[in-house]
Amino acid sequence: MMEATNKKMIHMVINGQDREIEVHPNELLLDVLRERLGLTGTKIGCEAGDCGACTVLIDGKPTLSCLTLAIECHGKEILTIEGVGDAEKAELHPLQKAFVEHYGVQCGFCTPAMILTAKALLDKNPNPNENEIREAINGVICRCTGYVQIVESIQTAAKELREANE
Amino acid sequence: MKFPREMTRVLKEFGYFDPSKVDDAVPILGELGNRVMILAGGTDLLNQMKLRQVNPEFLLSLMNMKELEYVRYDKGLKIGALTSITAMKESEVVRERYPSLFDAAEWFGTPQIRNMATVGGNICRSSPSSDMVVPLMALDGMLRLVGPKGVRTIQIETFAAGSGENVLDREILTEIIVPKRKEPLGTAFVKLKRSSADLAKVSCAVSIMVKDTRCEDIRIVLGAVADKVFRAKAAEEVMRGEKVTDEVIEEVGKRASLEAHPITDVRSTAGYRMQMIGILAKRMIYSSLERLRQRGH
Repeated sequence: MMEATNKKMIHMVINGQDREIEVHPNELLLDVLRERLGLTGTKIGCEAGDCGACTVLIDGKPTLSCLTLAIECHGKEILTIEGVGDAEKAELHPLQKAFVEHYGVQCGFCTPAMILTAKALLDKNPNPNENEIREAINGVICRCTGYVQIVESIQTAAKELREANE
Repeated sequence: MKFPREMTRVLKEFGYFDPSKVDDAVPILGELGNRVMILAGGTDLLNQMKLRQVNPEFLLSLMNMKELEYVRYDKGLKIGALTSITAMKESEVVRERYPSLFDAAEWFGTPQIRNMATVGGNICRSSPSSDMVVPLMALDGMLRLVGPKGVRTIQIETFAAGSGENVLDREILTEIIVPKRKEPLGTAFVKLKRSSADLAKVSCAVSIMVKDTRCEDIRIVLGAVADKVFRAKAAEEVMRGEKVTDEVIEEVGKRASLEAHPITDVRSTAGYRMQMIGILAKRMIYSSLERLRQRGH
């Protein structure tokens, strides 16, 4: 029988950077990102999988980091909100720009999850209709906006990205 | 369970296994028995651990078992237990041949939950509302279980023993099989819920076979209205062998709720659930018939 692990050195690619970190099996990805790697853009919400505030992209797929063990992310590519846009050049991703200009942000707490989820959608489907957008974001709860401006922001960004790619 | 639920941010410590083959997992299950729990998608198990509802000494993670991720049509539908709900939703063979399974994958949780959750995990959780179990039971689904004593295949109807309980005996579910049928099948599934991430208030799946305007065979399965998913057999009896008419379907709707024992909880009241059972059963019969028609039968 195999030996049980109680500590492992894991390797992840986070926002394009190679990171190596030793983790215990009981550490959640959310806490490793926030506490140990200082990436506090990913938010702590309900911690039960209902609100989506902790959403990150793992190998391109929206995933709840509050219900993911860090140890299971060995070898995976992770994108957090800090990896969207270029902080050093102070350049916003078209999604971020659209959210700012079209009032997709109020308190901002759901915004990292909304942007990452929208990015995953547009990477797969550059021309989503309103229904497809609403379906894609229905795992992230927003208490402020009523979602209308969020949908408009995503539609605007989608259009801009399509035009940039022509 | 009291409200508000007491949740602890930090999980208790546990030993961790992540074998890459089922054969390596079996001796672990055999030796540790109920000291070890299996981790698939984690969308429910980690929640339970935070609530301290379960406190396993060891977790056996299936994340390396790529051999359990597949959906293929081969004299029936074969689904690897680790197949994600998203993969079910995106599978062409599921959407075309087993639309009730596609419906269940669509109704299931949120996009994030669908990316993480697995068909096997949903079945083994044995929740009274298990979304994937409902249509699978209406398709006479079978489960392949592997353990220290060997391999066995059982009907999905015999798997759950009650809320959160099942017949797994140091075993791991490896495959879900939907047997091939000779005649065409109309299938549909619906889930009533409050919000996207919610469990069902009531869910219902129907599979129907029609020959010369008579219902040759039918399955009506209900979720979230008893301590486990079950077939409303008395309601099925009303329709089996009869000509398909609105009157018969109306009678089926009345019978379907008689066999259910819904409770009042935070999601819904027993009374509302009772009312909805008949309505959903009828709707799913009509949807299944419509799907048969669309395929030219």
